[in-house]
Formats: sequence, structure tokens, C-alpha cells
Amino acid sequence: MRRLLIIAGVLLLLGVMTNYSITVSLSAARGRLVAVTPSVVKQAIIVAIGLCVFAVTAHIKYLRWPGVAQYTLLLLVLLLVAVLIPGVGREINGSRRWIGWDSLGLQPSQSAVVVIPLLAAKVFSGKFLNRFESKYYWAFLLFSLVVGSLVALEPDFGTAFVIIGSSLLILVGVGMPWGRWLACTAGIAGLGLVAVSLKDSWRLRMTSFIDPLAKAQDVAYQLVNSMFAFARGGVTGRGFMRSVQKFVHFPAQESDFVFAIFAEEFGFLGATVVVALYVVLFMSLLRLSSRCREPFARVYVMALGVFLMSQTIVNMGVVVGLLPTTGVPLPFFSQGGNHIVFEMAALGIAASIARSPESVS
Amino acid sequence: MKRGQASFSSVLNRRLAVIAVMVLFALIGIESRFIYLQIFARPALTALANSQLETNSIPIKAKRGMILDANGKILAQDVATWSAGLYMPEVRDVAWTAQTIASVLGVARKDLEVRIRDASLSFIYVQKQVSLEEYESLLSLDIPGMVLDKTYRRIYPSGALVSSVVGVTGTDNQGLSGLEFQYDSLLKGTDGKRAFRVSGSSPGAPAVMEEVSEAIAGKNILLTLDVNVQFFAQQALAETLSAYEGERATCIILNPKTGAVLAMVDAPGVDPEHWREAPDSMLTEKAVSYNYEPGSVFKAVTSAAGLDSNTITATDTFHSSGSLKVFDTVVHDLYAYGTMDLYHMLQYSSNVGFAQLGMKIGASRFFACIQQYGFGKKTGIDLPGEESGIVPPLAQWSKTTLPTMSFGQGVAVTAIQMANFYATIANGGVQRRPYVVDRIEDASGTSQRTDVPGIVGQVVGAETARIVLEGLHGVVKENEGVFSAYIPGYQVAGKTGTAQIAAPGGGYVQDGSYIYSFAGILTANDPRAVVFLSIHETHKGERTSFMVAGPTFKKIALQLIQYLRLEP
Repeated sequence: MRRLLIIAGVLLLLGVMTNYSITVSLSAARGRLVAVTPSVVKQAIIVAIGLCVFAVTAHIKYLRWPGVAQYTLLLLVLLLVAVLIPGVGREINGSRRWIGWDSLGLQPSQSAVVVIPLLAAKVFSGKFLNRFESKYYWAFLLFSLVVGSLVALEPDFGTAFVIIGSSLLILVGVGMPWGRWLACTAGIAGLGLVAVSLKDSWRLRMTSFIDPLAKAQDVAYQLVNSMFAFARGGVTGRGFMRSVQKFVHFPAQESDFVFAIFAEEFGFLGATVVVALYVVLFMSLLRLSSRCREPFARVYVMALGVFLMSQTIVNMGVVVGLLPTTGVPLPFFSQGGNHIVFEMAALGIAASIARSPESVS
Repeated sequence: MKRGQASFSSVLNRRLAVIAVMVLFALIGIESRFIYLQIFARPALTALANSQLETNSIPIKAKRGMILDANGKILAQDVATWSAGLYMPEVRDVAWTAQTIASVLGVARKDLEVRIRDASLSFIYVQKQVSLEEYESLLSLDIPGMVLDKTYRRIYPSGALVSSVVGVTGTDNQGLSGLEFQYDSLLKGTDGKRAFRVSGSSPGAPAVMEEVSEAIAGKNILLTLDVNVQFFAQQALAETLSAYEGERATCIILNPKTGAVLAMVDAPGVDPEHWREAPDSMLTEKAVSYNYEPGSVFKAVTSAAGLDSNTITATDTFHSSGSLKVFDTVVHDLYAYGTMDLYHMLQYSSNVGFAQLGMKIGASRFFACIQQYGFGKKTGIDLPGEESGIVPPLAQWSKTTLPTMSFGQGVAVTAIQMANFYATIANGGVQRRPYVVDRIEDASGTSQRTDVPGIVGQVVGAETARIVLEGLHGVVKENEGVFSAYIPGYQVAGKTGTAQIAAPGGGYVQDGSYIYSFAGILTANDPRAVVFLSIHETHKGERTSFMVAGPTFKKIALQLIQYLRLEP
């Protein structure tokens, strides 16, 4: 399905552009006028790799995935445990998310975009369809809670939130009765709140978004600067390369808050166009899901749409100050190798589904 | 089963709609937030953002103005040196930076590393003054963030000779004493800065704009002080101090016609570039800040008061039988001088005569006169820390206050007050406000007089001044031969004084140390200079003023005559 690739391609391009705007200007500010920065080159290479991975997964018959879905889950859990072991997992900025070396690091949690939809598709196709037994819901929820908890232990609350939150939405999508769903959601939300209130620094992070200007100098520094960037953008934006705020809010401007700089340069209109792109992507996936006759394909595509949309909403909710500040990349857009490659792989599987005659009515 | 699947399929489709609605609500929330941030809250947030937009700046030090003597000789001057600082946003590797800088400057690496790490400002000084060698090695190392800026160091070419007047400066080149302190705001100029302002207006171009506001150099201060006169006055004081093991000495030379200070010496002086090694008390100009009992030099004041109050004429006489009982105290003279008119009273420096004169004037008239002459209040000289002297209020006077004050005890004066009184006598009774700053010039050379030297007024009657001057001339002339202040061919006028030193708890210091002073006028027929000097606490040799202070005056006077080309 060409539409998926086009939308992803546009988002990837906008991400590289924003990276270019930020890093080239910062380099100039440091007195070095350059045509391109290492950061831009790196992201371009990652985009190229992502496109290759997409091409590969798009050409693999999707029906090969049901047989390996459980192994991807096992592998992910093992890697998430490994990340937590000192000496194996690398600690950056106080959390252990990485395995490997400097530029070739693997961030296992980012593979959830592939693993969770595969897991959902695996669980909610096959025998589940005979009796719609509750144990399948519980099993899926248990697996995603295990994955989410391991990610939370790194700690990476943002990604854990996306994993567990999208799993709950996936349960809506597979028809979990409302009473049980509401009970689960309330229970997990309660557990989550207790968990983050255990440590003062966590609690502070979770609440600082409520009155960011009061804490602008420390915990809410990034958020305040992100809000400033939005404000500077206005309706039409300051124009490409003309962000002012990019000079101020390092160090995370190149990744999770990058959308704020985009919104400063392209304004409310530009930001809304990007939101629209995600909506079109999401709706395309939902439509594809509803057209699928084959259960695995149907659930996978729905789950992928839900997962990508959840991640988008969390990232944007954070940068505009509606959600506590957590580091979740904007799908396809934010700088960073792992999430782009895994997102492209996951999207490739959806493309493979769209192309296979046996899945679509 | 098919039915089940079919109905499940329709459930799923309904559920997809539910998910779409949930997502829609979330997106409406985010879009509303865009609208709020980018439209409604925009002005307020942008204003706040602008106020917090970091404008890093690095100061550019202003060159402090020079202080020059009457001939344009430099007394204080800023010379260029270099300061080493770090512009924090450009510092890469803190440990390496600290290590590299520490090895060049020879400072502790650990301390420096901590300072760099803890820097809360975008710019910190590593060292405010670095040598040329250090500057060159730091420059060659090309350390990211290193800012080597021009700054200034204060030098004082005349050193201790003028330090009590010129003053000293602190580590930031701020004036701490003397004229450096008094005129700090004029001397220091205005620092400039190199500001780094974030600007996103030009794509591709350096987005951080450097705005330079140049420093404005401080103004130059040109003094009435003449280093040549200062030098021979200082030499004379130093010789006397070493010959008689004195603690310190002060000399003021005034132009009586204008009030301009030609010289103001404190000996020993403080090296202004190493003033921290000297006690703080040595930094103040003693000639204006030290109150002491004048002794016999005050008799000229009593003489003027007697004439101004019409108590006596120049020819009225008093009698000294060598001592005089005044209430419960006895006033002594060296000899029984017999009958004396005012001229002889001054020549003999008769305590008995002046005690009688004082009592004849009366307390309230005497008090009024000395107040009018400027005692008990500041002269207003343009130096910091001036004292007023101490003239006790009338109500506190005892029965013996008047007679003893008449020959210079029970009253405290500053050297500048005493010098200024003799200048008033020399200037026909017209008192002027003494001053050391002739004019102030800015960098473009335009000069302005901020302190227009003022006439205080005709505080001593013209005829009185003439008679007292004649009397003081007589003091020197009639003691020809014996008196060492006598200079053949020149009509020198003057008066000695020997004063006891008031002890901190009342009474006088009893170790036999005195303050010897001499007030001289060059010359009686054409007063061009008034010299007032005092030598404090000698521990050896002669114990009379005309043996200690007189010859010191004469040394200065002889050179002054030559230097000012005074006519006989």
C-alpha cells in the first residue's frame, strides 16, 4: 500500500529537515558554517536503512510472522532483562536503555512497535476466535505488562506508558467486554500512580508539567522552552531555519522535543499538517484493518495503528505540556536510529498485509 | 462458528470506531493546546521567552583615567594586560580544559575544574591578570571557550612619593583611598561588553550575533601637585625622620593666592602597588585626617583674634615675669621676657603673654574668631577622610581652657587647617578653599574644572593679616643666626610649634615625644608659598622645635626659592 510509505516518507523527511535546521544553526552559532552536520548525515543513513528494512518486511509474506511472534516476544523480554544488568546495559542520563557501543547501540524497548502488534495478532487470531475466552485477554495483558514493567525499570516511563496504554486500546479493538476493560484500566492506572510516587524525583517529574513556569529553571526547563518555541511560531511560523528557541533549549532539542522547533518554524498550520499526516496514517491502518478478512492481519494492522497513534499522542502531549515530561520519540520524525528502523519494519509488515490477496477482501 | 466470526467482525468494526473517537478526543486536546500556545498565549509567552533569551556577555574593561601632576607627569596610569576567562557554552571537555589551563597558569587543577563545573554564569574569569608568556601559551593552545581579553593593571610611576594623595586601587581597579577613591566615578569610565544575542532572523548565517559596546575610558585628573616640589619636601622630611628617629612627618605646601596644593607629603609613604603589606591606617592622608594639638603655631591665630576683636593694637604690651598663675594652673615661659608688644610676644613665643591676651579677648569673642578662621570645621579640600579638628563648644570650656588654648593647647587642628590659616594671613586675610585637583580632562582632551576653587571670604581683617605677617617675619628675622629658618636676603615669615601628644585616656603622652611643627611663608613681601610641616614623635636628639622643624623647613624653603624662582 503506497499511501503508508508516502506518509512515512514525508514524516521522515520533515524530521531530517528539522534536524538540519537545528544542528546547522547550532554549528553556525559556534562559529562553524557547515553545509551539513554529522547528525543530519547519521539520520539520513538511518532513514535509508529504515527504507531498506521496510522493503524487506514488505516483501516477506506476512503469514510467516504468526509462527515467530512468540519468539520476538521472548527475545524482547530477554534483551530488556539484559539491559538492566550493569555492564551489559549502558547507562545514559540515569537510565539503562541501551545495549552496544556508541553509534551502534540497540534500544530494545523501541522494538515494541513491532512486538506488541505481532503479539496481539498472534493471541487474538487462532483459537481465541473459537470461544472468545477471557484468558486470551488476560494473557495478552500480562505479556504487555511484563514488557512495560521491564521498560519502566530502566526507567523509561514514557515508552512503558505507550506500551501499556496502547495494549489497553488494543484490548478495546479486539472486543474486550467494557466492564472488564474499565476495571483493568483503572487498576493499572492506580498501580502506575503508586509506582511513580515511590520516588521523590519521579513524582516531581510527573507533576512539574502542571505549572511549568514556576519550575522553569530545573525540572520543567525543556517543557518551558518547548512552550516558548510553540508561542514564537504563531499561526504561520518563523520560517524554515529561523527558529530562535533552538539555540536555547539544548540538550534534548535534537530528539524528543524536536516537534516544538518544527512548530516554531512552521507555526500552527505546519504543526496541524503534521498531526493530519499522523491521522491519515492512523485512519489508513484502521481502514485496512476493517477490510482484512484474515484475523492475524486484521488485528496486527489495528494494533500497529493504535501503537503509532499512542506514541504520537504521548510525544505531542509532552511537548505541549499536557502530559508529564517523558522521552518518547515522535514516530518517523524524531532523531534516533532504533525507533525509525523498528517503525519502518512494523510498517513494512502492514504493507505486506495490504499487498497480499489472501488477507484483504 | 461462522456466525460467531461474523458477529465478532462487526463488534471489531464498532470497536474501531470507538478507538477512532478516543484518538479524536486526544487530538482535539493537542490541537486546542496548539491554538492556546500559538495564538492566545503567544504574546505573553513570547515576551517571557525574550526576557529569558540568554544574552551572554563578556565584559570589556574600561581604561581608568590617569592622574597627572601639575607638569603633566603621570602619577597613576592603567597599562594593558590580559585576562583569561572561559565562555562556558563553548567549553567542551571540562577535565581537559582545567588540566590544560592549570598547567599554563600554575594553578591547582582540581580547584579550577570545580570552578568550571559549578559555573552558573555563561562566562567566568579564570585569572584576571596573566603575563605575556602565559597569554601567548594560552593563545597557542586554542582551548575551546577560552576568552583572552585585554584588561588593565594600575601602575604608579612615582610610587610612595604621592601615594597618600593619589591613593590606591583594589583588584578590580576600583579606587580605595585618596583621589583614586574621591574621584572613582570619574576615573573608572564605563565598562563595555561583548554581548552574544540569539537571533534566528538569517538562515545559514551565524545565528548568534555579537554586539560590541565599546568601553569608555575614564577621565584624566590633573593635579596642582608638583612632583618636583613633592620630592624635595619628602627628601627633607625623610632626612629629619632618620636623624631624629621620628615616627612620621607631614608637609603641606600651598599657594596662598589660590589655595592650590603644591605638595602634600606623608612620610614614610606607602608603595601603592603593594599597599596590602602596609597597615590600613597608612593609606589615609594624615595632613587632612589627623587631629592634633598644634602648640605654639597657634599663637598666630590668637594674635589675629586679638587684633580682629579690637582687643589690642600692635603696640599694646603684656608683661611676662617667667610664669603666670591662672586659677589652679601655672603657665611658664622660658625666660622672664618683661614687657612685650605683639611682635615680641610672637618672637619669644611667650605663653604668659598669649595667655593674658586670650583672657583679655574673652572666651566668646575668641571662640567666634577661631570659628571664623575655619577651625573646628573642614576646609573642604578635595580629598577623602578630612577631619574637622576639635574646638570644644563654649559650654565645655573650663576656666583654664581660654588661656591654654591661646598658646595652642586644648584645641585640635589638622595640618591642612593650620596651613590654610597661614595661607590666609599671607593672602591678606582672604581665605581660599585648598584644592589638589586642577582640572579634569576626558579622552578627547576637553577639560573641565569640577571644583572651582572657592574663596571662603575675608575671614581675617586685611590690616590684621598685615600685622600678623609682619610679626611672623619678625620671628624669623630677629632670630637671625640662632634661628635656622633664616635665609639671608629673603623675607621669610614663620612660626614654630612644639606640642605634647594627647594620650588616648586624656592628659598627655609622657615619654618625652612631641610633635614639632613649623609654619612658614615665602616670602613676607610677596607670599608665593606657605609651607606647613610637622614631625611626629621623635625618639632621639633635639627636643625643641626650632632645632628639629626649623632646619627641615629651611631645606625645603631653599629649594622652593630656587624652584619657584623667588625674588629676594
